[in-house]
Amino acid sequence: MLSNIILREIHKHILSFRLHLTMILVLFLFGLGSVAFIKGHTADRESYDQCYSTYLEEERGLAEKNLGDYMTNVRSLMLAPRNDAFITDAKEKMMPNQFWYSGFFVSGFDVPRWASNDLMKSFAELSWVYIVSIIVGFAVLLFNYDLVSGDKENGTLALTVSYSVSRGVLLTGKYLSVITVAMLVLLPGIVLSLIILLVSGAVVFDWVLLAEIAIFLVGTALFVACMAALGLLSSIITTRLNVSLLVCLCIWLGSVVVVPNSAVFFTDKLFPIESSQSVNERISQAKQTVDDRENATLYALKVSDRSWEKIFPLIAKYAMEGLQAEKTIKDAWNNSLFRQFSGSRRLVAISPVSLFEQLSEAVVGGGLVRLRKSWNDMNLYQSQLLEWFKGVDANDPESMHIYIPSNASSMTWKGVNFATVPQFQERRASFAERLEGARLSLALLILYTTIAFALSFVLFVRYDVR
Amino acid sequence: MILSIALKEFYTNLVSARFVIGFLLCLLLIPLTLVVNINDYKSKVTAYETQKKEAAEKLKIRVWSYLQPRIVRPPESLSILSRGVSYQLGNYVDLTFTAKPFKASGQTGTSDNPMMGTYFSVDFCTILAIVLSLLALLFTYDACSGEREQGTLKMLLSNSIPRSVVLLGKVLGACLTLLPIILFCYLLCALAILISPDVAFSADEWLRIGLVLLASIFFFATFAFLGLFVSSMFRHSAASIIVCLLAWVFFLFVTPNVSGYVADSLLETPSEQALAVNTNKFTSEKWKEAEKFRGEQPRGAFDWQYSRPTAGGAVETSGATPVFLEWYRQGNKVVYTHMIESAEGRWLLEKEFLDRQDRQRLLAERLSMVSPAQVFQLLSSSLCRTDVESYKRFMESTRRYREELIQYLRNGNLFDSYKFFTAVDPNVMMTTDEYYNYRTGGRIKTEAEFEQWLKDNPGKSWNSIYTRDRPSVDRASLSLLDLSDVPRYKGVPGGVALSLQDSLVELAILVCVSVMLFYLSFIAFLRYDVR
Repeated sequence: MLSNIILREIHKHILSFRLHLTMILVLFLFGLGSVAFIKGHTADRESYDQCYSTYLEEERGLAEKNLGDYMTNVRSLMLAPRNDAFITDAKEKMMPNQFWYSGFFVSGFDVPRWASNDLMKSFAELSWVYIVSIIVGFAVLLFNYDLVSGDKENGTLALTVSYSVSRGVLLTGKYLSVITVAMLVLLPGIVLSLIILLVSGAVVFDWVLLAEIAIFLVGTALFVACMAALGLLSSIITTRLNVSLLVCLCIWLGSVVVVPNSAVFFTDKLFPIESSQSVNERISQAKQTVDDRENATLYALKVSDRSWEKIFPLIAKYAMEGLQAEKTIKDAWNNSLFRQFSGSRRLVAISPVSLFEQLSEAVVGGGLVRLRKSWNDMNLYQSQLLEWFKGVDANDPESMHIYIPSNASSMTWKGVNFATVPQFQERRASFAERLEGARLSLALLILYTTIAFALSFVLFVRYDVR
Repeated sequence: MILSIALKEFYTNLVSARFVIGFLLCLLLIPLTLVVNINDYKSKVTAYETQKKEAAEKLKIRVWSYLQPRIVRPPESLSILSRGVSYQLGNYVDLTFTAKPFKASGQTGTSDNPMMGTYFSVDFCTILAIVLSLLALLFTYDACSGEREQGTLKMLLSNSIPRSVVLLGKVLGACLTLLPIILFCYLLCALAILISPDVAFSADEWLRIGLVLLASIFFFATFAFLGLFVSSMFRHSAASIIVCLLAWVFFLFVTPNVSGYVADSLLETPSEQALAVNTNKFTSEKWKEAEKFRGEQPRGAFDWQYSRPTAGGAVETSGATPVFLEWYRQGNKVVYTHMIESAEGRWLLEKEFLDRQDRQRLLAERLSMVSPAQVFQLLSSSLCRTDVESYKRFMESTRRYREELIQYLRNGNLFDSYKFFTAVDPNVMMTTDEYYNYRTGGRIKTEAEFEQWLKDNPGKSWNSIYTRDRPSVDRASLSLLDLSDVPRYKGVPGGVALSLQDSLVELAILVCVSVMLFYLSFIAFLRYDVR
């Protein structure tokens, strides 16, 4: 019986005008998005490769000339554009993806200003997630708003219920059919996009990417199910078709516009952080205190004691103290940034659209998941680099073996073969780590769907079909 | 007759659920947006105050080479209505001799947390555009198809009234319903501005708000006519609502992103990082060239503070021998002339980059003009002085001001004055011999004697002979320059007329599209099959 209802509903939908219109729009956007992605991604890749090779050249030059200089040099390293950004770019162009570090300290991250044209108003990229969350999410509500109230208005509901079908089966059938139809609308677009990407050869397809696509599709089905349940609920709560539509629109506006767009405001109020200005002031104060002590000690030295052998250990001691003071403050600040951003993520979790975005971001291992992992890896890499350097330095009899983060003259000044220098390699998050990142959004999405469907179920059983 | 039809429409609308929900939506969203934007504006003002203080601090100078003021652009209070690009671009410029102002610096975005840049914020005009267009469509989508389904249209037309009158009446009815909502939104906005202690608007700004209101009426009309047109094209209201809503999503949510994304992918802009590397290399090469013009340092010229000009050309020394100061003074004119000329060369590189970025932006804007909502957005940001043109005008004014300052220095022959790089009196400075005498406490009397000592004591260095630190003048005790007759920065030119001129095209498009849609719906309604 259930399958009969589903088939009938699907049949009804497939013939409907709204499905055709949505399908055309979705196909158009998938096609356009893929073509634009290929063009943009290739350009991004080229410019990244250029930047990276300049970076490597500079690194090589320094390392082969003077290893001490190599260690003290503060430089920045950018993360590469992701291959699977066509699924979701996770707004990485607006996220910090550049790290500042030297051999002694990873000082921070920022958004490279040259990542995008700042004269142009910022925009969301036309990725799969964008199309699904905005267009398909909207379409699901459109397919849905008249599911019950519409049938009631044209009188078919009373007839249907008069058959020996339980109301639960009827509702489930209607619900499942909407999900199926929404996925049917989506699939041609995805296939088209995949064909374009495959033909262009701009993206290398491997098993990881295929797995990501498969998991993304499951996530999409979940998102569609959630939106459909909400639409169903609004269709049952309201007795009139028009009101049901308005409620659906309000739900959509709330989750697409209101919640994500007021996130910054509420986050600042609920999860305040110290201002960067005050952090910088604290750092310079802490450094000043160390500097003052250093100067006092150095000036107190007798002229006869002013040999480099005596001065360098003192400078190193204070320099390390200063660095430690800065590191403590900076690390706390950087952690507070992560905390605040995670807080904002929890705030926008009211919106299924935001949840779906977070879920997909975790599936491709981009955005916050990627930033957090790379940040930890970068810190790890820096400590490894320092250890390695100390080993090399120990073998140099001419070095004083005194490490000063900002002055290379008391360390080895010999060059090394660049190939032996450890390099930072970005490691993609494993699926376990991605699941960890997706946990909350996955749970909430399932929760919302269940609640909305259970509510509609109860209300439909008691529904007055007249 | 028109009036009675309009009134009938008005009353039906007034009691309908969509009016109540639309009104509630405005009541909820508009204050929220206003609070968020006033809050953001407040934080911009705080940042501006700090920067202004820093700028004033920066102008407490002792030498003319430091006449490199920071120009801070005050935050635009109208950004509460329309943010435009004002939150993406910096707000101050540091003038230098060696480069023309290229881009404004300063914190962009509204949060100290760079990750929060991933959230967009909407302003009053965006919310208004979203809600107004939705309401306009919701009130008109069933004007014909809905009445046809109910059968009332047939009855209405069986009376002796021409169809055009019926249509006009319907339009008027929708206007009567929605105009109060629009006015209510603006009233809320005005109220928020008046109540908020942090925002004060001048008459000019109120006039601009009035113009934005006018634009939003045209914008609303466009969507109302679109709804009417769709309604008279379809026989069923269920079909017309779907078309209307999909069009709404397409115009409001898809076009802005698609146009940006497509323009970004189609027109490549070179990386700004590569440009920065190139321009910095260019300037440092020019510095090397320029320093050669000074010629060989004469004997006895010694600068014990090792002062070097910054990349921007600011230099100050308060510890050098009279010979050095004279030699440096003589070289300055030609060095700085060369550097100021080379700034033009650097600017050529930067201008090309900016032009390419601007072309990309223009392409995105033109593409987005498919959507009336984007036309309205562009129009309002230009009226609110938060568009790219206003930013470009600000940058141009800083470039002009830089020229004025350089001209001022030239007219006063300040480039080849001592005051250009030192605030001390050259006549009281130590000579080289006096310097050695001072630092060794009299053990070594002259420079020649020191060179002899170095030869006699191989392996020893300066460290084992000096007893006193370098002679220094307390810079704080030196007098500051009097800047009273230095030309002042005059600010950005701009009046309503200029903004109107910028936005004329958008306004014309909005009017034309609404007239065209009205005409189309008129024709479609005349031919409408009422059965």
